[in-house]
Amino acid sequence: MIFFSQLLRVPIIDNKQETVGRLKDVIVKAQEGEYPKVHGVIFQERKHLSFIPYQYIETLSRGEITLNKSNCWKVDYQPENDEFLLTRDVLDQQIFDVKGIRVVRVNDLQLVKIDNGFSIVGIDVSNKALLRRLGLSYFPLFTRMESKFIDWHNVSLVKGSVGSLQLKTTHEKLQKLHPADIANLIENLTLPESTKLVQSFDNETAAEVLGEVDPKYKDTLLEHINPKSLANIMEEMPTDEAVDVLKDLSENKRIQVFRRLGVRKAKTLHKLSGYKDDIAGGLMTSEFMTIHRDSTADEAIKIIRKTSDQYRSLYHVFVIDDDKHLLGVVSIRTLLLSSPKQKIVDLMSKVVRTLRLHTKSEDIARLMTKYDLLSMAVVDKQKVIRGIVTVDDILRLLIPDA
Amino acid sequence: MRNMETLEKTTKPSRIQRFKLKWLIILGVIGPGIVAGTADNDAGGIATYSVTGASFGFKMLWILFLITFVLAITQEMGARLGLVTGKGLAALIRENFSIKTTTFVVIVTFIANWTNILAEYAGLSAVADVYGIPRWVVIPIAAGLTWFVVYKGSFKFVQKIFLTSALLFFAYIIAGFMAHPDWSQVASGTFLPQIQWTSDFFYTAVALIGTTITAWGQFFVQSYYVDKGVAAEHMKYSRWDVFAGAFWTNFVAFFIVIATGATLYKAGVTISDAGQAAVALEPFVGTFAKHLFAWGLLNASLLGLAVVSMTSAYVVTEAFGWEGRVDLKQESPSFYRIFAFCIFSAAAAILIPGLPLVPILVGSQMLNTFVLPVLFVAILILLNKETLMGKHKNSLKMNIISWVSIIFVMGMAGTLLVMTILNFGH
Repeated sequence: MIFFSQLLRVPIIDNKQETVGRLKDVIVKAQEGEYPKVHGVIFQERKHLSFIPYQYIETLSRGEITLNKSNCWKVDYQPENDEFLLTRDVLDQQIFDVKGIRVVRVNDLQLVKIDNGFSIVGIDVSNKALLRRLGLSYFPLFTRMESKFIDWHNVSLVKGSVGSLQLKTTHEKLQKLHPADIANLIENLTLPESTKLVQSFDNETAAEVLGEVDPKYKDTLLEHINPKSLANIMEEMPTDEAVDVLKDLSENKRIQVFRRLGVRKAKTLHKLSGYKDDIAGGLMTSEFMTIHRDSTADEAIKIIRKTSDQYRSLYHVFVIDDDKHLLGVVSIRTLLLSSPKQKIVDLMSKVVRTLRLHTKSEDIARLMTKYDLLSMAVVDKQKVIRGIVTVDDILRLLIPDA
Repeated sequence: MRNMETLEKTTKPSRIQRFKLKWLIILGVIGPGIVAGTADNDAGGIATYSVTGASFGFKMLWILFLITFVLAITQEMGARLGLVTGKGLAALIRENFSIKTTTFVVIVTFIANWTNILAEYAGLSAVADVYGIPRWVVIPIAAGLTWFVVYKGSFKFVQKIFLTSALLFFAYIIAGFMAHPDWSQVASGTFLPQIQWTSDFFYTAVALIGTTITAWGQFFVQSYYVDKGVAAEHMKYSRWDVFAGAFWTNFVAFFIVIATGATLYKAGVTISDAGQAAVALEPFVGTFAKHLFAWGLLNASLLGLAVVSMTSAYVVTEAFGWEGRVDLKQESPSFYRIFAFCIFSAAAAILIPGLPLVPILVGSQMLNTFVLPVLFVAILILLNKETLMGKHKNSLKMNIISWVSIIFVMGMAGTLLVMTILNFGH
């Protein structure tokens, strides 16, 4: 095993025993599911960076690097899309530890000979690595200090995910995480980095991640995201969260985002954003499913199949009459267990408890706890359903920094 | 489509709303520049200004006038770096230069800061002496209070305390007016440069610069902007914040010099620190002026204590990858550990009887002189990096202005260093 820091500035000697230069950087190739392989080394000659492909390297060690050829380098090499540089992009930079869900600074890298090449197998984030690089290995405490290695499979480049190079592998590792964990990582990045990262996700992931970001950090982050991306992300958010976002924005930004929203979304949000945060009107989402009382169970299930991707969660279907008055509610379970031809009106249970737009959050929490409800309907004076409040909205309000 | 139009109509701000909006943005951006600037008037600063006025009257006001611009320029560079990269200076040095440079800068800054914290405690001791309170009562209370406010307070709360403290410096302006200076002399001292070719004059002039342009000030303004999370698009407002900070700092300094210059200098009373200044002012301007000076010094020392200790915590955590923000307590224990270490270890040290304070402070100034050129060169290299700064990179004009200011500062600081070494035996 070699530490990358031990290779830095090592002389590169060609087959005629002449020193070509000193190692400045190492280019590695990212490969899905495997450790990144060393693709070649870089040395600097005056202002030019020259690249020597790995095939010309005879030996690679702490003392020197020997080549099996001379004049085998390419001047001013531009790395390809799946390649990155250890000094430029990794060493001393911040990196995601996707297992520990944190952002760490890379103090050193481990290279191991695998098959007939070198691969990066992990990073060292310990203070011991710092002392080693400062040439303080003789420091009496040094041997007693512990190294902290993180397997490369569990790390993901911050720079690689947002910088000029877009590494596919980086994104894949991140997107496998739960949105709440991604949010946690984002909170530990610098604002320009976290902004770029959020914008680089697809809108759906970005919406989920934003929903989980710590409120204190979220306000600032939202201000940094460009209006166009933010509008697109908001289209993917449940209405209640989108409303919260809108409320958090500065007036200036809100106008810019509003202009870029779809007409339908903009209308709904405009209507909902008039309500305060801690009353039913402000907490509710307009994502709920209604069905006419005369429909059959079969028809209901068909509609669910077709439209379910519109809803973040769907436990109940609300039953309405011709004038859209709320009559009752049918659980998905009841629908599944019923015979297909049965009328909805016969399956539903009458709604006893509803919320008004101005019901306070504490009262909602009390009602939900008392009657063991996962969601409650919000109705207006005419008994027309306007939205639903789900238990997770209430939980978020009660425990804001979870 | 009609719906969208009505929507736009309702959301488009009127002129008054736009004006209000602008103010909201400014209030959201303002703070770091003013706090960093004002904190430059810490205990050491107040002492230097008091001595300057008492020894040279209004003859050095023109130097203060010039320093205002230099401070504004250097602080603006730090603010811009922070806003665009979202990173503190120590982190940027680590990422763009060698680990050895980073370690050098961090260790030297840390020691210089620590001695600076000692100086803040010395300021507090001076206030304690004015009122005849024992030092061992005042120092632990001040240390505990500062730690408590920064550790327990949210970012917003801490900033409010800092900004209030910045306002309290107004005390010195009142004191300046109470001294009834001859304003025509003040004006000529400010706009007509005059030099006395004595080593004392030069020494004091350089001390004026050294107390204003500091390594920690450079680190602090950048990290504080990053912590505050100001967007790069609001840079023009943050620029005004920095300029306001530089102006306010030197405006206060200006009045301190006037207060002692119009009284002590005229009467030929010599002083060697800020506590003595407070006491010496009493017979000339009255008891109220004494209190203004003493409470001003108390305020300056406490602000300096918090800001310099925070800077040390920022620098070490950023450089060695133990990053944290003032807001995220559980997630950045190292930040608060280092902060507490600085506050309490220096408090313990200042209480050691017979501590040779003067050589320690001179040493601190020397360390500052060593690390400043490294910092400024690093800042300028970073500001010229296209990959880092994008469209906010330094223009040729900015580079020339920066280099001129930096060479001016370095030249003066270097002279001070040489003179200190030569004079040290006397």
